[in-house]
Amino acid sequence: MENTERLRHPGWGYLTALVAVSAATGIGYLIRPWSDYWAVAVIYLFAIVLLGLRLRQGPILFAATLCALTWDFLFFPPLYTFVVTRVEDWMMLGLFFVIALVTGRLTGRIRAQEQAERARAQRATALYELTRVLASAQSADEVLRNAAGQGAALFGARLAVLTAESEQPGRLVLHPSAALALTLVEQQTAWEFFSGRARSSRFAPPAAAGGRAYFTLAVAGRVLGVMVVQPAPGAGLSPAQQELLDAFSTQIALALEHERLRAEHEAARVQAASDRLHRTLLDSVSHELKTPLAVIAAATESLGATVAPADRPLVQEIHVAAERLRGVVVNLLDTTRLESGGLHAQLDWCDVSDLVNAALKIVGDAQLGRTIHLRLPAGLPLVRCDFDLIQQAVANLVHNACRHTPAGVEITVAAGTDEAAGRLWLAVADDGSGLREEQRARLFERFFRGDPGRAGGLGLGLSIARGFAEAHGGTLVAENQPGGGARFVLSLPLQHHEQVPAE
Amino acid sequence: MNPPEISAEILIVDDEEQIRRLLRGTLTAAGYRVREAGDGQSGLDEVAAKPPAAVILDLGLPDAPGLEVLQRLREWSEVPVMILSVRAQEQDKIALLDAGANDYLTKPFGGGELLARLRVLLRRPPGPVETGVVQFGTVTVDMSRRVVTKDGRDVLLTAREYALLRLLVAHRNRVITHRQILRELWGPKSEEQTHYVRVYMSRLREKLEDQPHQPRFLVTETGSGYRLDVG
Repeated sequence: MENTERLRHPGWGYLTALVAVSAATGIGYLIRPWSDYWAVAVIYLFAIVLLGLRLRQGPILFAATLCALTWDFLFFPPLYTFVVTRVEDWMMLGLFFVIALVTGRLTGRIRAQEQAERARAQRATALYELTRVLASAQSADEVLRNAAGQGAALFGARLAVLTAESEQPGRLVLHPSAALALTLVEQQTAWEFFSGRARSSRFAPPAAAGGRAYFTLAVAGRVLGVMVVQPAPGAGLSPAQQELLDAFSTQIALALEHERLRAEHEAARVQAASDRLHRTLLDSVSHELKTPLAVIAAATESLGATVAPADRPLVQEIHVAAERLRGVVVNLLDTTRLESGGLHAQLDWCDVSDLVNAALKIVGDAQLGRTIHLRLPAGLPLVRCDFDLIQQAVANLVHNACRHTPAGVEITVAAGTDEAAGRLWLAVADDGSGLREEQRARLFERFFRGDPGRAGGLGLGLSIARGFAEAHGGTLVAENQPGGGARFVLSLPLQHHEQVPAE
Repeated sequence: MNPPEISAEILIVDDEEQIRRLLRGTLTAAGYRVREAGDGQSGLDEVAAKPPAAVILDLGLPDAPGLEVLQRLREWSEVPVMILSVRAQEQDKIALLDAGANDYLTKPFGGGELLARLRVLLRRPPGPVETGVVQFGTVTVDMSRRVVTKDGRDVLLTAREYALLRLLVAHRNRVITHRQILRELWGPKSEEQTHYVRVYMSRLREKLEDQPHQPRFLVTETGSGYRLDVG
């Protein structure tokens, strides 16, 4: 109703005043023969009061003036003149205006209160409706669709929501719920508003009449997107509507954030479940495979001392085979760990010579008579890494060097630091025949075997070593040494630990 | 090497029949008496009924995780415990040793290694050596005079280096965890600062070992701590 009155022509009030005063004049003529001209004045007063309930200040004063003039001119002795002599008559004329002003003021106040009340109710209803539909929304898509629907239903405004998506950096993605087509220029404006270049507050009013307003969708200081609003045709956005839309944008942002958190939580839950399953599987597989191997290894060892000397080579064969099988199991499990992404390096400060010694202990008998030299300079810094992983990586490199070189070759394990590059390196070198170019390119592929003709090995050792190095932000490269022979260099980031407290 | 205490009784807690048979064979051949339990609860019951000389505890038990069994056992018993596991993860070892395990063996293992470790476990805890002299290689540690010599020459140790050495001597032939060392030397607040120990250990090796990078006496127990191997 408020809206319809506001839309009426401004002359409407004056016309109403004119008609009402004419009607009062007509009634005055009818009762004049039986009454005093003061009775007519009462009728005029009554008309003014009635008009005051409906009209604004201007038309009321117009009506009061009209009443004063017609009363004076048509009913006032001397008739058909504007002469007023008696004090009471002046008072009555003054009263016309006083009553007009007072009722006009009172009605205005009541009307303003009523309007505010209605706006408040509208806002509360709108917010309640929005929260209700948002709360029941199952996805961010649904949230945005509901918001667009509410905007249209409540104040004929059309909404479009643009969100920042992590898959598409540098631009905003228009949500398909948009009830509004955006030009490229407007999308650019939205992006600038979003990225904060053209934004001084949470809201940017329409640049021109009929233009569009921009609201940020922000939660706890994080801006998730922009809401573009096209007001109803021919109307701007009243401050109350701005406020409401702002509340809208907060609600939408909250829903979007909620949705994001829910998705993240779900992803984490799935990841954790898969990790758990994986861990259980790995544990049971390694248990099932390693237990019989342990039995075989221990049994052959006990047998070795008791069997007849002629049978000892047989027992030794069993022992070597069991060791080899153990190596295969370890490699397969390591590969699975790398493949599944379930590998988390447990970083700790490690002593390089401890790492190398532990690796050589793992290689054990498999060095098959090759001589291994250590070149570890004094004063090597500690390296921050996962001891288990790096010792296995170094063991794989040594193992690889032993297996792929002829007997009698000398193998060197060395370490050092490259302060400029911020790296600590561990190198396993041999003085064999080196690597062929085509080998070098594929060396770190899984199941690649340098010499397919020769038996032994799955071709996993080097890919595992590289995987472990990379899990630390390190590298593993293969090269030929100038003096001949192959060299594998494992580099790890060099970090400096805090000073050990002085004594 | 001390000869094994003949007829010392070992309790094997393992659910794998085959492993139990194997351990029984190895242990009885070496002169031990053996009792067996197939799960954690009956293992605990066996210890309660009659404490054995040592317990060999498998981690993968059907009724409870090995760590839990160990913790429950440690509430009332100080019997030496050797853990047997297929997992070689460093974190697991540290957790178990901190929970009171005395040693840790990863499957597959050799019978010889098992027996050697068991011998160390069964030896009486090393007595106080505050007044004694300990010798390893060409190094002599005279605890009463606080003097350390190598090849007859005095070795200068800082106060903390000496404290670390004294700790290792007190626990000689046994694993002492990083955490224990850190607590003793730097206080409980420094338990996570593992680099302190490593730095001091490498200094000690530089001063006492012939080949500091391939130590013979100041041995690293992978994933758990250090051991002073005085034979």
